[in-house]
Amino acid sequence: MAYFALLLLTQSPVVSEFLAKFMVAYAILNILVQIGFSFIVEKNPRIVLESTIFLSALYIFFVISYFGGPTGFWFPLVYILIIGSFFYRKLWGFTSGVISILYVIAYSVIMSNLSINTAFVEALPIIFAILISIIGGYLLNNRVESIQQNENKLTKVADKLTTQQSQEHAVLTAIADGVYAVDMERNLVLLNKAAQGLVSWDEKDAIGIKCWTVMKLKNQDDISVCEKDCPAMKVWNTGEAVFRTDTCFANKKSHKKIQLSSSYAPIKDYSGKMVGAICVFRDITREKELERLRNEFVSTASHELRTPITATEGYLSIVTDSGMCKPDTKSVEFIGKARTTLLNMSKLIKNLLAVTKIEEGKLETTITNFSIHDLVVEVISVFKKQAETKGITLALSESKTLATGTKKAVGRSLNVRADQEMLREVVNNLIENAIKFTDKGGVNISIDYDDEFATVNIEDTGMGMPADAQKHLFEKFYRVDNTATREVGGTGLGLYITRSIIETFGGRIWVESTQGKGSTFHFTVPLALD
Amino acid sequence: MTKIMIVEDDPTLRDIYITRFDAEGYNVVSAIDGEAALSTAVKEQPDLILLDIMMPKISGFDVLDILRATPETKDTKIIVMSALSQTADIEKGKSLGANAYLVKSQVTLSEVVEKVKAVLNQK
Repeated sequence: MAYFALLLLTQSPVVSEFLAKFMVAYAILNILVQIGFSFIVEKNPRIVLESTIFLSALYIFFVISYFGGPTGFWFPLVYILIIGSFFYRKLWGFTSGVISILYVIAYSVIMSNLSINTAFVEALPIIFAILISIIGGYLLNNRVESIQQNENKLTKVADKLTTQQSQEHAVLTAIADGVYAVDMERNLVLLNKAAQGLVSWDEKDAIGIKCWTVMKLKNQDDISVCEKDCPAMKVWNTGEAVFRTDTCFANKKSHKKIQLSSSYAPIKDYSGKMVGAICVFRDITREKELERLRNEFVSTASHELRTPITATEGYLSIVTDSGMCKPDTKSVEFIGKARTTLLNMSKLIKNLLAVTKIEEGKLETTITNFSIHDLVVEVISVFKKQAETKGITLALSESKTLATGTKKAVGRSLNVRADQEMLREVVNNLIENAIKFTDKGGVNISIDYDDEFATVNIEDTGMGMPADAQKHLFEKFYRVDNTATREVGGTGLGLYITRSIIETFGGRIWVESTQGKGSTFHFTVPLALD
Repeated sequence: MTKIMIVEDDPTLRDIYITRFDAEGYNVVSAIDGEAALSTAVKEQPDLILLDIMMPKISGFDVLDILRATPETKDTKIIVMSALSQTADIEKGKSLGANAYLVKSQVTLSEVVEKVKAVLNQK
């Protein structure tokens, strides 16, 4: 208020020019002192600026008045003042607008001694101009405010994203399993802390480069899988998750081999398009080592068991075969039963050994070309007597060559390519089973040939098996749950080994069965290419 | 009486072989490892040697090699007995001069006796 009073006073002719000049000088000095003070007291430059402008605004009127009032050269400063005020706050804008209008009217009243109404009318053009500035300023303020609002919104969203990112990062860092992800070009886009530790690569070095430079995945034969057997590629081809327990890599620093159990999945964007693949893996070196030791133990134990069996069998054979002893009929009979039992025990041990070899992937094979037909004939002759004793038939029926429409050279060999002794095992096992489970009717074997495989079918009219059993039949330790079969015996390993053998040579084995009617086992062997 | 030498490091197996061949009427001598086998073979001059492959210190293949290189034993009948059934090993045995190769896990004692008789009858 004092300022206004002073302001108006300077306009009054009563006040001398000197006083007026003094007051302007005083005003300017005041502003400078205030600014200085603000700087010292309020460290925030924004507040300093604001208070400076506020003070200056007041003194602008002094300047304007001194230099000619509303019609003077400096009056347009008012417009700037109004618009400037709007820049900060609407209230300031309106206030300065109103003050400006009042000033103009007051000036006219005082200087020209007009009545308020007249002064108002006289000053209308200027008032109009002031109003325009007010409107302009108001619009400007709206603009500024909406920009401010957008900025705030963006800041909020950015904050939220940062929080989320931090959360995700925190989760990934906390996971004990390794996680890595690649884009469609197999560049690494993610490598979490655990993964970094396992491969001994820093995130900043690894991200962006090709995945096979960092994750040098190899299979159990120490050959790189990245070119032909990449799990990420498989994921993209099938669209499904892939699980592997056969990969390993060497740590960059220690060169230690680390065995992995890993699962791969595709990464899709919101529209369902594939944009990458993600892998979660863990170190199973210890588990694999334990498994290997267990396998080795079973293998060693099986070997060790052979010797006492051989010795027992040897002594029994001395009693009955050597002529050194003179056993009576009963002794011979019982010893015979003991020897059969030993034979079974021996078979079981052989199976156990075979299983350990299969598990280790160390099944030794001698691959030759041979006639599957002749092999089957040989095995049938071994079981002929057993079938006769049981009163069932055992026969090999005519082979069929299935026409597949492709021209083949005449005289094409119908030999198969596999390990002959192992195939003998397979046929042996299947025929033995067929006879075991058949009490009436018989066992019929047939062989079909197509372009690539020979398919052997072993059909029996035995007790068959339920659908549930068919599903699990070829699994390790599976035995059909049936009191009748309990009597017949079995370890549950035979079919597992049979399947492993067939699959090693690239064939398939499956069964069709109706409970009470019979079963048919089928298996395929690849034909020899000669 | 035909003399047979059993070379086998496992005592249980060695016992049963000796007992059985004794019962069959052969004169049986034995050795528990490769070194003993070589010296006993020269000393006793058996008609046939049953030679185990998996032995400590020297392997049966080396023994076979040396036996065939030694004038006193170069023509002795030798049957190699092994737990190994790999074709490569069987070939090795034959190429080093064994008269026959038997895989322990695939033959019964009676079958071994048959083989011994058959090899002894070969000329």
